[in-house]
Amino acid sequence: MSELLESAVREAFLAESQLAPDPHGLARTVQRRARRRPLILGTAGVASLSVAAGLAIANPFASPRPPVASAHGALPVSGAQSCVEEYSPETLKTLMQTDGAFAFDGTVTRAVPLAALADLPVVAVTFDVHEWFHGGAGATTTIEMSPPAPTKHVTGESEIFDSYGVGTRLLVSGVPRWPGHTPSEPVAWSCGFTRYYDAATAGTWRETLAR
Amino acid sequence: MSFEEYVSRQGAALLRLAFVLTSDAHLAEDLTQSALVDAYRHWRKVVAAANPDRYVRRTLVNRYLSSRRVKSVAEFPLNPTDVDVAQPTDASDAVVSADHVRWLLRDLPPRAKTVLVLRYYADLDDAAIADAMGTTESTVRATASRALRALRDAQRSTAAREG
Repeated sequence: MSELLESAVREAFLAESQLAPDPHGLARTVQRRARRRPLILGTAGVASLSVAAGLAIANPFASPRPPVASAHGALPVSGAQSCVEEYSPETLKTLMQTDGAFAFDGTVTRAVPLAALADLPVVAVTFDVHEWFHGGAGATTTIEMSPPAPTKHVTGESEIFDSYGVGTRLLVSGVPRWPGHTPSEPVAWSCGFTRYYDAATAGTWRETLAR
Repeated sequence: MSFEEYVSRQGAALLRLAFVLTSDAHLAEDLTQSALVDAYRHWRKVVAAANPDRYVRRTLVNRYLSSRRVKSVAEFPLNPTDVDVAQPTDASDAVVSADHVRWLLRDLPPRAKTVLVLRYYADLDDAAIADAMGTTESTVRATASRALRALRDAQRSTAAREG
């Protein structure tokens, strides 16, 4: 009976696999999608309260800019993105059900570009953690993020800043790429799920994620 | 090996694996693309690891299990299947019918189904399955055993009802 069943399971999976879609154009689709969404969950959000449109550049580290001194709302990151989830505290709470998901309040102390394809840069960002809202532990942590976006203030200043850098305080949420493994390669979500710090939003995260 | 060469060689196999896991063409495409986007972003690391298949398979399996967990927590309805699977109508057929087994497999919890897919479709040993799922070999064996027992019980129930 057991061998018969195992044989039937093999046969069932094989039959199922014959109905899989055609992989035609897969590589090209993936490359397009990778450029559109550098981080998982469509991570890089566009919600730009203070972003100047059309400022994206290929290599954000080619000409370092100072980080923006004060900003609010979603953290803009480089590249054009589409979001598969829109930020809300309730959506954040749901996403925190994902294996190893984390959320914290922290200040950037270091940002190092990682080796990556030229058009898909990734930055290892180290934070001094002020408070863990969900998951995580320790006084510091390092997260993979998309590079900062060139940003200017709506006040009309002509100077262009990076959307984040050393000294920027953020509310960060994300997941490990490899839950349960070491290193787990934690990755920040954007699309509003990583935001500039403000006390009210921090309070909302604290309250929502504690429920 | 370039990314394009890798996808050209393994893309169809990855799509088939994703489809066997999800039983849904759209989900399978999305899952495969997501896993490959991740590999593309880290291609140098993937190639340096000398085993791109292991890297991409782990990503694909992790994403599948994570997505199912979020959906189940949020009580999302399952997406409608793209494939018509014949439901058993005759007890004698039900004992070993692949169609019947396909139908029963869809009721298994995601982790149980994943273990069976990796063992009986991808032909991985328990160590490789544990690696792909981020768990231990003993958990893999226990999950497979429970899944097969559940299938047997379901077959017997069907046979009893029909017979």
